[in-house]
Amino acid sequence: MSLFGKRQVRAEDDALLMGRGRFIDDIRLPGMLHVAIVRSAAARAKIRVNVEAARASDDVVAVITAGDLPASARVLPDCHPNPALPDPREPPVLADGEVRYVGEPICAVVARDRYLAEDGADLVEVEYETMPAIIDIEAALTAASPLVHTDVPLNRAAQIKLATGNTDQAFGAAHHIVRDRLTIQRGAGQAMETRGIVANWDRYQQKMVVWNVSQVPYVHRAAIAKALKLDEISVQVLNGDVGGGFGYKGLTYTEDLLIPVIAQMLEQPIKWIEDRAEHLIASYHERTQIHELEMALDANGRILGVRGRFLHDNGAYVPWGPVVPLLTAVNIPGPYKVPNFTVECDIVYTNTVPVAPVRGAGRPQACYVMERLLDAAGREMNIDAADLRRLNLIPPDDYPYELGFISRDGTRRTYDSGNVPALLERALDLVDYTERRQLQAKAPADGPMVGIGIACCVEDTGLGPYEEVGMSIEADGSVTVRMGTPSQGQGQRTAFAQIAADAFDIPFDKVRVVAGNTEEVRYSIGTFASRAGVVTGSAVHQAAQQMKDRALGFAAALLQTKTDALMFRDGAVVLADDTSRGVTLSEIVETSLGESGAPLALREFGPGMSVTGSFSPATNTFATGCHVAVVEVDLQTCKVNIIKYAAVEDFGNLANPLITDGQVLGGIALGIGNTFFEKVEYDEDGQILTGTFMDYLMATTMDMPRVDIDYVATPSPLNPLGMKGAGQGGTIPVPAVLSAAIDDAVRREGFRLRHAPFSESDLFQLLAESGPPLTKGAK
Amino acid sequence: MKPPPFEYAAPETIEEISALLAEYGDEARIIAGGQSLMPLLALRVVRPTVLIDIGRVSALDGWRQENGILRVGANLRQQDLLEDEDLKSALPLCAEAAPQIGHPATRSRGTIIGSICHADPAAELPVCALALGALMTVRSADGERQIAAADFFDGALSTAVSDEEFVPEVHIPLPDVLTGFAFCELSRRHGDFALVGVGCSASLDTDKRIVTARVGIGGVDDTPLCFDLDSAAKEQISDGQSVGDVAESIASQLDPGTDLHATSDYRRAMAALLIDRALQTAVSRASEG
Repeated sequence: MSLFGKRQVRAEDDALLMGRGRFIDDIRLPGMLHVAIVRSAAARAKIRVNVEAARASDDVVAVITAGDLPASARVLPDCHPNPALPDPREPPVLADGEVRYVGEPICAVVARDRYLAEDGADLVEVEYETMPAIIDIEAALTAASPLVHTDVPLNRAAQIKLATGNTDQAFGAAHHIVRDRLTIQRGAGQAMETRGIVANWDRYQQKMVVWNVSQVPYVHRAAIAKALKLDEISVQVLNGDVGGGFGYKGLTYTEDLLIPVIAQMLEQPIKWIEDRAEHLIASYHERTQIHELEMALDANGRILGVRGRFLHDNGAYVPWGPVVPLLTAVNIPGPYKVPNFTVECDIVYTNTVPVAPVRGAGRPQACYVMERLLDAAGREMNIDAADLRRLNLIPPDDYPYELGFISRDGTRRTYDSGNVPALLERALDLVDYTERRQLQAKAPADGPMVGIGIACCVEDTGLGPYEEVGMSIEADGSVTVRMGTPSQGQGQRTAFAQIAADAFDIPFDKVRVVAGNTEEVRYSIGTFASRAGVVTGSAVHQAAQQMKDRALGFAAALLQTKTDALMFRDGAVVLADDTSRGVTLSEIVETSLGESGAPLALREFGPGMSVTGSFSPATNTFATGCHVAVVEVDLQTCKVNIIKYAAVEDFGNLANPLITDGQVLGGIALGIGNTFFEKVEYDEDGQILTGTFMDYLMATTMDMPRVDIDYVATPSPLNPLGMKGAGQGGTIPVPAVLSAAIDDAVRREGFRLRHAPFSESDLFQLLAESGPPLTKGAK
Repeated sequence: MKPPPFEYAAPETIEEISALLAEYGDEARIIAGGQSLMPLLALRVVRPTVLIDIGRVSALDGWRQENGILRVGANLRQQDLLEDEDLKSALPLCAEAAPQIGHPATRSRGTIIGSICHADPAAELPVCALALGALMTVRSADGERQIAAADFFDGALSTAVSDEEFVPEVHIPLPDVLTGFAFCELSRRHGDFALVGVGCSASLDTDKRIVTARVGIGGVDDTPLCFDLDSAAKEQISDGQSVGDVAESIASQLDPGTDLHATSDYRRAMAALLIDRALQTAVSRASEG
């Protein structure tokens, strides 16, 4: 019986579907007070705050301003230091005299309920002495630009540069060069559950207990402890059910410190729930980058080199170092052989919501620019899109493949395993690529405009440094698995139970997985960057091996045999050559605990069946993917209909394909949003124009095509289960693949998508500016 | 966001509504389905002193036909346009528009008259009201008057209803057999407000020549717009010539704005396309009886 790899129905779903989920707003404590946060209405201004009227209101319990905060909790610490961005500007917990983006927290109003808190917030008077806002990243880098931070010249937070080979020489020898300016506009993660925090200061234990929706509760624990000058062990962070993460919940926010600080100050439980209007201006955004890149190719279409520069819009402060642009930079070559590569990036401060990873995290941009350059080369050199990729993909025999530069985690970037050519062929088969190309060549000029797009990508997943797992066998023979990586809906309770159940040959429902409480295990990093499945999953495996060794040793002593004569079978340890003889897990636990007052029977083993295991990967694994889309473009309305969509992923060995299917589908839904809908728009004064879901649009079920998902597994050698992360692969290639398919469908002189997202209206304008249809036969 | 404090009144008769409005005037807001008002309250964009919930006024429920007039009450839900078979056949234009109004959850609460009175320039039902030549019954403590749909919409989210008045009923003239309708819309996503929405009605004489043809258009100005085809256009279409020219000529009179979702050029071009489609469909449906 092996559960690993089975489409096990999720253990989480019954409770969630039947209204027994417990989300942050379900936490109610006696005497709990509510907070409304007054946020900046200006993008860049000196401010004067008058809270007298609010404080005078009978309905207001307290108003907290920057000056009321303890010195240790006035500025958010740099939670993720990175040498590439040595001197980051971190956000003040509450703005102190100056604001730098619309939505920046200015003060907190505490009241008996949220209604009264908002009424109190209405009474706070903020005087703004506004100054010109810095919004455009190209203008921000000029000497004439005002400065977001007066001590950061040119608004340049940092520059990063990556290089391998001799790029200039490669371009000198090129047969063909394509160059383009490719831009991506920012969007944001839109989890169903917004952020929220409940903090309770236990004055008897002098302990801070915080419930939140964190992807990184241990990071939050450390930051809260520092702000409150407590030991880490005096801070507990709890996560119930969490309605989606999208990466932006993996960061630390000013509210993460502010709410516990207020709870301690007032010695009363405090709740803050981020509402959707707040979320759109208060949770970190991602994706705005401008890329100017060129690709050199030989006469056959083989890539000789890629070089260029891109600008990254960092927003007003640095929540997570340079991780997004760094991920773009290292991911541009993707699964292709790019022997010569040079890229530089300027990270630019602007008066906008700070930027941090949102599902995909710099990689959708990387995939977009690489694939757009390949598509341009294919069109100009008249090479079929699939053939061009076949020519340039890293062949399976070249793995492990070293790229020649340093990865995000400081190691030499090396793809551990992969076979992207096989992914490509499978994806092409799923859309009947050859037949479709033939049909396309024969299609009448006035018929439906059908096009095909292809994109391949790489994702660094399962990064270190470690995860710890506690495991115990209970009195009834069931197994409890405790871990630090909380769930935001990924299905940890299912996938990790499958791993543990296999180890002991017990049924799925005899394993209970517990997470979301920093007191379950001592050390953890968190659930982000497609890492929990790989790192925690491997730690579950590791803990299970230790637990098995312990139970086997104990059983061998009881059965007076050697451990290698024993095996796990159906909830018992039995003799391999006579499986009817053995001792149940329940009996092992009972014996190992002995009786109260009596000496322990097997003293040398110590009490009970409980172990702690951990896993520390040498470096991250690399997941790969290939998506192929067939679209039809209505040239009158410029509406795009996705006729066929194939996603073939290599996530290594899969614990549960049902769960990874969900990851892929959800990822594609965000990718479709990133292609057509999800767009944060600022005006030149830094006012956000997409402040509600009337204006910030996401893909709905009606916009989702049927997706043919398939997997090709090249197991990772970097962990015992051969797994790779699956959290973001669905999202990364979508804007690239759909843009390619639309270009291919329209096939007009001068029509080329260079920006995402785009609307039907944008396509209409591009079409109006484009030339005549390209001649038949041209790709 | 949470609404600021307000008083809540739940009258049971039309007279009580009028009395409350007479007392509170512009400090009162009527709430029926709440699908437009609740978000505005939560965002603290509107701050009424009193919210008058008309849900308990049974005189405003349902709909009926009387003397060739279809009378829709202020509590009739949008979802009824999809589920009430008699209503669907009496109001084919609204029934065709209905699936594009929001989603089942919003339609099940949102009312037909509420949507018309909210007067969003891109909403479907105001366009239908124009294309159907609906008459809005407007009532205050002083009595009742009727406003033609064409005179009803003053501007974005603004109507000719005064602060002391409300709309208990809308009267829609029932079509004869030789009238056809069509509703066409383009939106960013299914259920969104229209980028452009077009509702058409066309009536033919027994020789199948167009007697009247009316085009309502949403999403292209501060209010929904209405065009009655002139005799030349009617003759042209009746003679079987291109509807496209007529559509283009109407679209050329439009001056839509550019916003986050679409440019002015796109909206004008789509208006021409949808007018063409809707007119053709309405005329052909009319001639099929």
